[in-house]
Amino acid sequence: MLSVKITNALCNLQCSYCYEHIYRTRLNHKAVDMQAVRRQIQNEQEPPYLHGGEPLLAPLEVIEEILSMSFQKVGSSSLQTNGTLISDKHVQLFKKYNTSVGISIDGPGELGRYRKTLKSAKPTADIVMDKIRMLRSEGINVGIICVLTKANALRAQRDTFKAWIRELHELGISGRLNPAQIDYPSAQDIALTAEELSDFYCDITRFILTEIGDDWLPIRDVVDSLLGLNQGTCNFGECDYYNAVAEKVIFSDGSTGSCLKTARTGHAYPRFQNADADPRGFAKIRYEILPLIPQEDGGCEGCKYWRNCTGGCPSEGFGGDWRNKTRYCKAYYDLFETVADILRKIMPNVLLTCDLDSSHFPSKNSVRNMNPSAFYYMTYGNGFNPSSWRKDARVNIERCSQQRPESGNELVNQNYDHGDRPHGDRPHGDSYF
Amino acid sequence: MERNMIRDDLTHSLDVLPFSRLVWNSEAARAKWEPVIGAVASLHDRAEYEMVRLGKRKCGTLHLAPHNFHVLIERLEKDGMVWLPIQWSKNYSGFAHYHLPTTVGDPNSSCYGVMARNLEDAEAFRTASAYNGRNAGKVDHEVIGELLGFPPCCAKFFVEEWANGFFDPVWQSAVRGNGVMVGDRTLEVEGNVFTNQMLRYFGFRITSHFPCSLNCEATKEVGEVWLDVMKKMDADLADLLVEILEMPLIWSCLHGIAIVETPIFTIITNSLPTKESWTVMYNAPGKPKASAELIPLGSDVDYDKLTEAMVEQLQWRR
Repeated sequence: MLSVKITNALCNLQCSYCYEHIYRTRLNHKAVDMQAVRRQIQNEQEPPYLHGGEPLLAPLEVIEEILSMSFQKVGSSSLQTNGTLISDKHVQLFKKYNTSVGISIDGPGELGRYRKTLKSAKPTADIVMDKIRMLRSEGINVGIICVLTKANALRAQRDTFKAWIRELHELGISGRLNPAQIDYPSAQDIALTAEELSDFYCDITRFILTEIGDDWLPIRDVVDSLLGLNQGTCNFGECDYYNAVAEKVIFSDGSTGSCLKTARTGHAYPRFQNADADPRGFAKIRYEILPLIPQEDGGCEGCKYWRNCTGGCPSEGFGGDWRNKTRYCKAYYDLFETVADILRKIMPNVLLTCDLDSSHFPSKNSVRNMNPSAFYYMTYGNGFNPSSWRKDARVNIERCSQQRPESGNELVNQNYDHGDRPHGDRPHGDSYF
Repeated sequence: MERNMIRDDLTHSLDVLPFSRLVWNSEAARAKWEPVIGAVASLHDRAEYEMVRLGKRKCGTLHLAPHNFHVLIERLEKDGMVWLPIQWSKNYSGFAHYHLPTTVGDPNSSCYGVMARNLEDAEAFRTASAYNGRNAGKVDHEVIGELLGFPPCCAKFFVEEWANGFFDPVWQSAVRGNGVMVGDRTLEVEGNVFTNQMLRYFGFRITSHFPCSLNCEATKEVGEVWLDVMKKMDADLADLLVEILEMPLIWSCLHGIAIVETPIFTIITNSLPTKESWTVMYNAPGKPKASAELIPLGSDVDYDKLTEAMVEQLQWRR
């Protein structure tokens, strides 16, 4: 993701919980040097997308140039905006450059009360919802980033929140539900506790997975992760805090930065540092220490979801400190439990990453390349009666250990659907055993 | 109210192997400092040798490894110095707080030893180090400290703290100074370039010992000698080293990792396995304060200032 912050952290809302505040006053005085920005975009492999601050504060011609650079590269473009400044001229650009518009909104009406209120009769969130409906009516793709706080994620707001998710569903919109990462003491009172976030995630997960079915993060991440399909977004993967290239940043003067969630002490660390110069990869030292530290001291020792979560986003660590696990540990743990419960109810024979020991994974800090696959008991090639629920479909999986002995015989039991009743709990590939 | 770190504040099962990493805080800082940072960081290492050669102290420690053995032995011989082995130690990158164990014949190891201007001093050092069971197998840290030119107060301090498991006693040294507690386990303290050992993980230091406090007078006296030697070796590098050591910094330690943040770079390295974060905010006399130049984790935001800044920037951008 190549994030061009053409307005740096400049924003017309500056919501109280925004993680950009700490460096906002430091960075905004960077000059605009479009030549340098162009040069840096050309140096990068990925297409640029517009981010901020609020990118629509930039002049229209600057916005157009960056959208067009992306369009020329991949046939589409994208930006992230608070939505308040979208005009007809912007809409024309979005259509011209096949732009996906990411909108930051925390829900309609009172759900969005922690976003800055504009001088208008309507709440800001309602103005933005009108813009979203307009964008969809114009056929423009829209995604949502919703920041969870005490204004929108508590029990009392749940029915309204679900109704909003339903409306978005009808509009063909999904997105991500991120907890606010608030370290500022004066704004702490609007942050969710881990227990409150747990309650929200568990309830909304059941709602989305069983009633809506849309692609909402982090729920999709958790499903994929438990099935060993992929690690998910950066929130659950290893991250080099000082070179967090899940978000590669270019500022208005062409200088580089990495994910600005790591700028918690005011430094936007430039990219291309000596991140992994040493073979031990000190850049990932967080993932060496967390599994060794007791959970009550801020570590992840003994957690069955370690390889799924890896301690969460480092900038979300207790006290804003990447050396700790995420402050929302309980919420993520309960989220994994909830999704695992749903998957097992639908498919009792599913193999989840948390069911297998480390010998079934090539990496100790990842679910990738899980062997056997989650659907091992449900596919031909492994049993007589592949099934999502029949107990007799379960066969020995030890042969799928990463450390399995070299036999020279790979699976040869390719065809055993001979109409027989199952006899024993192993398939006919006897030569393998 | 000052707070002392106790053994229960540590996770004893956690031992982070040596590493030191320096990351630049901005591209401007990198552009200015990267060309010279390596030379500045190695100045102290080179001065350690010179301090012995010039007779400013009796002994120094020196690792000989297969790759540098021939160069260093020849140089020692040429300078009329001696070197005697003490023990083999596993190689490491970064900063080790103690000698890492190794096995006989391990090619990834080096020999730790003592250099001196005469055999008597070198042997005295080996005896104090309990080499081959000498001195009844008991290491005499006071004699070692004296031979290395350490102030007695600092040698005593370090030995006591080491024995308690505090092998990187930054907090312990700071808390004995003139600091002020500005939060739970957060101390703001004034030191000076001679007592500042919070950047030594990457080589930035003037003295080679750990001071008993950040305003230890004996350390200042010793430090003046070191700095004089460094200036004679390379005055420009010595000035840059002083500039770095005078920068305000925030040192914090948690879970075996120390983060040392200066205005231009951040060092990440192995340190004490504390269960909670312990923070030292360091200021040098007459220089900008850490609390003004740096932003500790969890700092608050002045929303009125943010709004002012936004309005100003919107105008500026037009």
